[in-house]
Amino acid sequence: MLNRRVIYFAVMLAVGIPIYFGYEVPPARMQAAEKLYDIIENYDVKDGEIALVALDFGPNTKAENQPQAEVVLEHLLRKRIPFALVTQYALAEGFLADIPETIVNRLQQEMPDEHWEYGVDWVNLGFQTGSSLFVQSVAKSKDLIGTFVQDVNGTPLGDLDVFDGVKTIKNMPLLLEFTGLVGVFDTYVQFFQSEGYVPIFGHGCTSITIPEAYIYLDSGQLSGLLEGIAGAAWYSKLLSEAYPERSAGMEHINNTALGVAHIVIILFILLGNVLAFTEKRSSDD
Amino acid sequence: MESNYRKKLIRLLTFLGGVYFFFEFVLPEAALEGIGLADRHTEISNGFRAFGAMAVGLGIVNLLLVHGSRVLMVRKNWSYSLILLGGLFSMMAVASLDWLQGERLTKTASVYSQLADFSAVIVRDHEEKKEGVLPLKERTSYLTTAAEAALIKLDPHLNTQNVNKEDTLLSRSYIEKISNSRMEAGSYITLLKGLEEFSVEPYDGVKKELSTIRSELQKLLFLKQKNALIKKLYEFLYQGLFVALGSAMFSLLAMYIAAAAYRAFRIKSFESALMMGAAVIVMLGQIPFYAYISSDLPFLRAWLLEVPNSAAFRAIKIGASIAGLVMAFRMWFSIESESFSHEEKA
Amino acid sequence: MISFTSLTILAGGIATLAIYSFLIKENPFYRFFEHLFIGIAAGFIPIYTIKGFLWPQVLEPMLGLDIVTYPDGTLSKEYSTSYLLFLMPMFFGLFYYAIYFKKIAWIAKLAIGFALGYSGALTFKGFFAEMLPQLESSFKPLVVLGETQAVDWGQSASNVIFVLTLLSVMYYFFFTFKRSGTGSEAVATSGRLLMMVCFGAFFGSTVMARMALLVERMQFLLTDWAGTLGQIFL
Repeated sequence: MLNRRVIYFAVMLAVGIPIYFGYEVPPARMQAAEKLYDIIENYDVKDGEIALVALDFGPNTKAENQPQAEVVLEHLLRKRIPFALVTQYALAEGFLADIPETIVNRLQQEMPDEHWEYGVDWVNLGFQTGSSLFVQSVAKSKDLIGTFVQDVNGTPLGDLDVFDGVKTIKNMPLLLEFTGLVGVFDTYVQFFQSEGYVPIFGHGCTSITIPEAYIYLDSGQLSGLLEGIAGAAWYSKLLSEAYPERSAGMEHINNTALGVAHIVIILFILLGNVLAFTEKRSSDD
Repeated sequence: MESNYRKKLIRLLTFLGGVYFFFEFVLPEAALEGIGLADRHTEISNGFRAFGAMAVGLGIVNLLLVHGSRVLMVRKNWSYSLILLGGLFSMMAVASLDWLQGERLTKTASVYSQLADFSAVIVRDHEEKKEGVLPLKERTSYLTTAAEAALIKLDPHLNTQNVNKEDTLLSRSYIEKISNSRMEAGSYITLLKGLEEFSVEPYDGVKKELSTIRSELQKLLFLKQKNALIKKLYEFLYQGLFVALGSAMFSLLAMYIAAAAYRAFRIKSFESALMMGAAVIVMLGQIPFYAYISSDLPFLRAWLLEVPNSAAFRAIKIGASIAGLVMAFRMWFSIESESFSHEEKA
Repeated sequence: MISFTSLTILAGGIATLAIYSFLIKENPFYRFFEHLFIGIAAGFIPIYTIKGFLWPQVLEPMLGLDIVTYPDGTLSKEYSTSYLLFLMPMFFGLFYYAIYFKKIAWIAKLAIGFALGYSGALTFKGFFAEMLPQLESSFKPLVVLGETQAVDWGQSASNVIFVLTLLSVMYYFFFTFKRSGTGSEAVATSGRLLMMVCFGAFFGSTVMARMALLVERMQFLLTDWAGTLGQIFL
């Protein structure tokens, strides 16, 4: 039997080599991610509408949720769909500030004549405590400005253009939620709806929750799904096709490294089985 | 006797805790509106949230009790406890200071939006002929005096000091917008000072320009705050330590799962072969190298997830959710919590 | 001179390596950073709870700090005494802390019971909102007609497999009556087998999730961290 440290080292090498050499292979087609892409691409935003984007992830699932959030937020910014960022996970607050800023800087470099501004194109509502209590209070609110009161910097929401005309959940036609925390995702499925109205719901999940997320895709409770890094990579590819000037992030390289790691894991499973089989045979003999 | 009374009280409060949300769910919207609850829903929900938020200190108290006592008594591993408490207090201090600094900057900028609001209020009150307020001229004079003073106070902010090199252009554009709006606001103030007959235009002008100043000034101040020591310390603790440590800690699992896959995943039966087959298809179907094996793999993966996986998972989910519903009933009526509502024996 | 940004990246790399040193064996370097991580993580939550909710939505209006006094002495809005009602749940929330005092520890159960009560009531609402569409979409047509009114055999077969899997897995977990007869055992067995496919998918996904975390850290070490080290030392 191999020493466990040999396995660790092999896995590190499998992941590290493609990253070090910047090796990338086109991603596999992810139909569920494509559905979300099509929805956002074809969405015709009206005055007084805003997308609610929940970034409910911390360092523990950042590896998968951050690239997903980046590509989807980039798409929203390109399509000029204003969005409000919020989180139910206190440890995510730093991401809410950093992610849109990084994307906007990249977009400004690509299109120096275009401008995206905080307060006009997006707003950060920060961490909101209360879990399902919070989500159902937003869904039933008749005055969302009164419900949220201010943004993360303490600016009254009434002073920000992005919230002009936004009153109820019906002004939030798109809900985009990125998390690896099953309980948090459930609160949106269960409570983010009002009588006779359910917004379009796109979800970015970690690989571990893919099998569960598919049951919501089948029931139509989810309109689109980004599955782990692979989902983000395919979404990124679609963006690059639609906007040829775009410079992609690390999604494709990371996805390739992930692919190499998978092959190594499968080989380890096979090797383990072959060794166990031969050992058993020799002991039987 | 006393213990019985406590038990009943705990059960009563458990039941009362659920009354509002239960009726809010079962009663039609019209009925809720009729009794005035629909309009108060946000406040009531916030009441529940405030109650829950009070528990936030429990974790800190526990940490202080466990690790604080270890440090004070110099028990085994006290130095690690000291590090933990150091991390806790540094993060609390830096996060608080960062918040307070942000609040201060917002307050500095919000002076202009408050004056903009005042301008709108003067117009509204005049048009509605509101009683009990000062005459229009006097209120306008208050507005112009305060606005002029506020415009002068802009001077110390209109520079690119403390701005990162890469943000210089951006900060200049903010300064330019503020300067333009200041000039425009100045002309409207002059107009207001000499106004003989009421006209909405200069009031609206003042409102518009002061609102622009608020929004641009806030952006400028936050751009400068990026270079403040507190912000940098926050970034150091959050990105440098917390995010890195958290990601690394969870990524250790990758190594363990690789070792476990090698050592423990044995195909000994038809069931384990099925499991292995499904796992391999799911893994290979979404990696970029699928094309070297079979171009149908992504579709096969999608089918596997959409059909057998979804059906099996849904069956499990339905069972678990019904169990959760039953549990919720039992919790609400304190049937489940017999041991919980009982008095602990000493 | 090293910039603060470089220092942050350097610290991130050292912290990552410290955690990875655990793969060789547990050591003080690892334990130092492990404790630091717990401390920092715990420090966030109380501050952000106050910053994001308690201050702006409860305390500020309760203290009347959200009311602006205009230059002529008028107020932007009237103070509403109804905000003082928040004192009740907040005071009640303090009951949680009775747990630290032996004599009155039972009082904490009042608060915990109340929280269980409203969580339970919210579960009713959540259950129906979540599960009704799930149940609805489980009734799939076993024969699907295509656009030309011809039978879509592929989709029909998928739907049949879906419904059979759903029913057999549900049957496998049906413990109310004792199973008897080979037929019912066969259904339960097929349920178990189909669940294995689901667990296989779950295992595959778990491997992917864990590897993704490693990919992110390796990317940080090999690009950001190594790049910063290069800038400083080369």
